[in-house]
Amino acid sequence: MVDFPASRSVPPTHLGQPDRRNLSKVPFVELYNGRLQGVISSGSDLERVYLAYFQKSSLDFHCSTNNNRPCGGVSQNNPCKHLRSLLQEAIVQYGGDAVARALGLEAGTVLESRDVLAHRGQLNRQAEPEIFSRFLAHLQYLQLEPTTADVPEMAWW
Amino acid sequence: MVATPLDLLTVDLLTVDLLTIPPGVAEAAGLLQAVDGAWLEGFANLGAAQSQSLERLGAAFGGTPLADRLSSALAAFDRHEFALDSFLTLAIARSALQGAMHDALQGQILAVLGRSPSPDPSQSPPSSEQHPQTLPQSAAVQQWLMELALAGLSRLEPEQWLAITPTLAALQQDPQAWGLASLLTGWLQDLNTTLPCVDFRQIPLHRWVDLWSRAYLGTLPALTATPTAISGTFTPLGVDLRAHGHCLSLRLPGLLWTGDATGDTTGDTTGEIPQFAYLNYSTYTVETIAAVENWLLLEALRLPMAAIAQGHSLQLTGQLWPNGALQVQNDGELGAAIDRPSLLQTYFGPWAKEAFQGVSVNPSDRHPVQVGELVWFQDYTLQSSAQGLTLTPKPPQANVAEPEAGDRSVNLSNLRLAVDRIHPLSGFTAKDLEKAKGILGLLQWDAGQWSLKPLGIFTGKKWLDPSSSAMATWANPPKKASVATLQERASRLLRS
Repeated sequence: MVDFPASRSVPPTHLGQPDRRNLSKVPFVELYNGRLQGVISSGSDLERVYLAYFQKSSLDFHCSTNNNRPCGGVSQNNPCKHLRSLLQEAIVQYGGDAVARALGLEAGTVLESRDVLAHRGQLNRQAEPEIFSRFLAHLQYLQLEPTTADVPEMAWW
Repeated sequence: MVATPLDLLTVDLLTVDLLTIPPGVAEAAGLLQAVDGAWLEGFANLGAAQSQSLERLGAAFGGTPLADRLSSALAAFDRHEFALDSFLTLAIARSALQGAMHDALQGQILAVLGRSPSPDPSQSPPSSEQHPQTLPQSAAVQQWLMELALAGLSRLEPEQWLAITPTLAALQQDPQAWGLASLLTGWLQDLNTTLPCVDFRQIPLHRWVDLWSRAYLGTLPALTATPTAISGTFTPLGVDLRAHGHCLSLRLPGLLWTGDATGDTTGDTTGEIPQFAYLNYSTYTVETIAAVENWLLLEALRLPMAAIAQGHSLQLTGQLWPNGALQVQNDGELGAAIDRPSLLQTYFGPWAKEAFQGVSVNPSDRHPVQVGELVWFQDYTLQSSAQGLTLTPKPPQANVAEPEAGDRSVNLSNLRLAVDRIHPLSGFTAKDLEKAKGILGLLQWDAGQWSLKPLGIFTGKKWLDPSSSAMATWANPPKKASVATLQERASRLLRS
């Protein structure tokens, strides 16, 4: 008896988030390359954004501006409000379990931002300017042309 | 090659059902499963088990036109010689096996539904006037695919799979590469969320090797068939939604009447046999956008969606491809009102009274995942069991005046409803499905069984499907839509 393997994604991946999340506050968040990372708007300056991340497993964290200036609010004992917002919006977008999996925490343990912060690692001094280029690439998707041609490749989803 | 069930089961068509796996399909699936192990371990690290499986693949193709090519490729692997051409040969062999599985399964589903066999796609050969072009990114994609296969999907490092990123960005800009680009985009996202993983059983191996093969074949110059210019009445009947985190792809299946003398827009009275066809629309998106707000990216579908939601046909002019894909020149216009339940019952019920002209997928697309027959159920029972929600249609009352209508035994009992494929944009939920008076769906095959992907439901009063979700969003767009917020950000940041 053959154990038939599946071709389609089961369950369908990424159904689109059911809830609206706060895009003005956190325009971009992703689980990528062993990090939970994103872009957080400044509360005071429209032109400024913060780039923040949590590293998988170690849960080391970082926050700085897109001009590579350290965030004034972040310290080892006080993760800044940007990091909190990043976690909150990641949980809305992906669900607590996906966030837990991406960070190497046990499934079912992440319901809100403090469930991750309780396990936080060291404040990491190293900025990841890649986050900003990832954000720009992400925005680029909305500039791409649609098609009216048949796309049989999408039958795998 | 694998015989179709029609060859084997003509003795007793009445016993055709969906529980019996057509001859050869299980054997082909078993062989693929064994062979896929080579991609997991990596062709640079093949062990005895993987080499034996590849030998079995070679043996299965003995006596076929691919035999020599495949045995040279396998011999090269044994000598640890790795060339792109060997990997291309493997993609072709895999695709040929799955093409045969496709034909057997397609034959089975058509026999069960009493639909006529699909037209032979070789009757619509590729146009000789077209000179298919190689994509400028083909070589880079092939090289990347070979690197993944050599390393093994269970051993990949992030920089290995992310190496495709710049090539992919270029592919996404090329309208000719839409299919390949959307596939690689979705797969890359799968790779990002699944890898690296400690337990290789978390890797959906068969699926990934499928995507690998399809991507490889997608880099070859495409031989496209020739479309026919058409003008007529198209009645869209539903919406099939396929989506990954960066792409929404909609298919609107329906019936097309092209007879010039068609007076009645529903087509029934002319005696013309309608043709199955579908409109397509696919767009990129981002996961940041709340589910229903994605409709704001799909406003080009306003007219066909209105036709579905309000139960109208469309008058349109455009091109029809042999696989049923329709491309319209202009929007067309809304045609006559139709009685959708009756139209669906007539053509798409399990005991349909009228035939329509079916279509065949393009020869190069033949794969079990492409099998999908539109079916309408309005008299049935639902049951919750360990397998989930299942549907059993009730046969029609024996009709003395029309004995042929109900005498065909349609064995569709305990058909699994794929509730896990209901999308936030579907316009209905699993709960709505349980209360429905009619269900429109696609009969599909995957992981060794048939199931019904629900596309829309009739509550007895109204239709709930993606068109109802779309119309509601377009009628009341959110005041501060995330699409607008992001598009505004995009134009500002990408300009600077």
